[in-house]
Amino acid sequence: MDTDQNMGIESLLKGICTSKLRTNILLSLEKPMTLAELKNTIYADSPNASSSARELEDLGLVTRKSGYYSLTSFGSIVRSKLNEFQDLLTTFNNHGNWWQTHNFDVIPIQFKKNIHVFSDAQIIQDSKIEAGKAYAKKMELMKKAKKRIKGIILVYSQEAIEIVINRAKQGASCQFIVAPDIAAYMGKAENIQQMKALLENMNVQMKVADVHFMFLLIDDSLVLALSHLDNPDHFDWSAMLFSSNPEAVRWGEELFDFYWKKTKPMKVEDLKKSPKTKTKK
Amino acid sequence: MRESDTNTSLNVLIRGICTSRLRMNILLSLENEPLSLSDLKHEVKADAPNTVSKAKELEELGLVLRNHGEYCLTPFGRIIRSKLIEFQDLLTTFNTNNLWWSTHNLEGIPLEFRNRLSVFSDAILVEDTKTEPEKAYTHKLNLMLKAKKRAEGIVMMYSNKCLDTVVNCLERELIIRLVIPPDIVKLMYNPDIIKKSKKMFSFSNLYMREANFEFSSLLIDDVLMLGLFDKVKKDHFDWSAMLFTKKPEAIEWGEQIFNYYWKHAKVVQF
Repeated sequence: MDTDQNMGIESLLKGICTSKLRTNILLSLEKPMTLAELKNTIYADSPNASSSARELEDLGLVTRKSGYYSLTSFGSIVRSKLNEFQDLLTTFNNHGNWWQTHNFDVIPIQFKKNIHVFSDAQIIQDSKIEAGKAYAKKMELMKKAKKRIKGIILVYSQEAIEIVINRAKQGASCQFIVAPDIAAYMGKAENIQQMKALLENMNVQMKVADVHFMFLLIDDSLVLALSHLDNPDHFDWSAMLFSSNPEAVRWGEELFDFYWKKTKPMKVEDLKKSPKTKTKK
Repeated sequence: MRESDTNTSLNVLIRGICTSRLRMNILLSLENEPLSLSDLKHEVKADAPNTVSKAKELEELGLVLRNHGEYCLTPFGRIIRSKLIEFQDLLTTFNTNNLWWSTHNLEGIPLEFRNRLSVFSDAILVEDTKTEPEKAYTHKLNLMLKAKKRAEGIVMMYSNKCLDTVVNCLERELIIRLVIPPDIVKLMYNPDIIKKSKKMFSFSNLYMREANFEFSSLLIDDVLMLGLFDKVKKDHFDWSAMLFTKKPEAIEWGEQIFNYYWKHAKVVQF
């Protein structure tokens, strides 16, 4: 790690984050503002506000023209990045202990670092009174799917497969990645009929990959299920994350494409052979 | 406007990392494998007592774990480290070609892609000089002439040379997918170039769509080119200086931004 670069990021972040006032000014300048408007937005008094704004100018983040303060191009990108950090913290703090108690480390780093997209997501959790609440919500979304159901599936559910067959017949585009052990289970004699009905539908495509988290994109919603740290071999259906934030959906689409691009399509005939366990990162 | 107490956690976290070079270095060094104290202090070039105390501070922030005498990042720590490196790359991107970035229009790049300009951290700016007045443009065309697999992008296609280059690629059976502005589509009907345009459009391996855009990005095999419009003269595309990179994350960026425009662009009927 180049020391000069370390110096750059440290002094920039120090310059912003060691002062609540400077941080607030940076985060508030969504549009050009006069000093008065700025003071009003951040509830600060004049001398401090203008000297803090000047400090941000020195960092190349803010510019002042004809009495209006605004962010430079660089400043607005830095602000976006800080908001991402903020959303990241909100994501971790808002969802009870969901992230802390579940295994999200298995998600590839380039996606894992963007879970700020889940800052406004909901964790639907079973309670003593409402058993199966999260799972029911997922099924409900699937039953109403119009455009698409796609994702990574790590459990075999006859009920879910029937829903997909039904939705695919109605024109929904269905693409799935299944884990090798699920593919093996699908190849069993008692399941082959249902699997044929599924895979012979032209709206359904399936591939096999070794993945350890589950998510579904159902129309414009995303559902994410992870395994509990105390029980890593099983998925925790009692608490799942739901989001209809377009950024979260896009995150899911890119994550899906990441795995989809790497694997070959699966046909009914493949099910009858014993699948090799592919270990992919 | 965010709540002031969530600002506090952000500030506490960032201050906690950035106000100490040693804490920053510890966080950055603990990449994948757990490190023993002696390996860690060797990496960060500090003595044992300092390393232990700073690592403990990172533990308190939830970023680091100490297990059986070995230090490693928590899953949360891994994410924060990754985000910091992204921030660092962003800074490098802007510091390396400061003048270029600050004198061109970035707002034309959709926000979600503008936030990922850190992918250009090792990009090279090819600029016209007094002795080489069309250096940048020529470089781009030469890359296309040598292309073997693909050329796809969002481009301001306007000259004869450009048409010739595209035809050259089409003749070599490359798949060319381009999004060009509607104004340029109109220009292609001009009597002095209509013959060339017709020839170009006769190839079945050309896929052309039209849309409005305020930047230019082109993927040529495994190279990404980025061009921008002038900040002041908003409709003036700057041919004299373009950015080139081979970084895999940049290629991914280029593919994603291309698809973003391609999906909504209108097919060109010539």
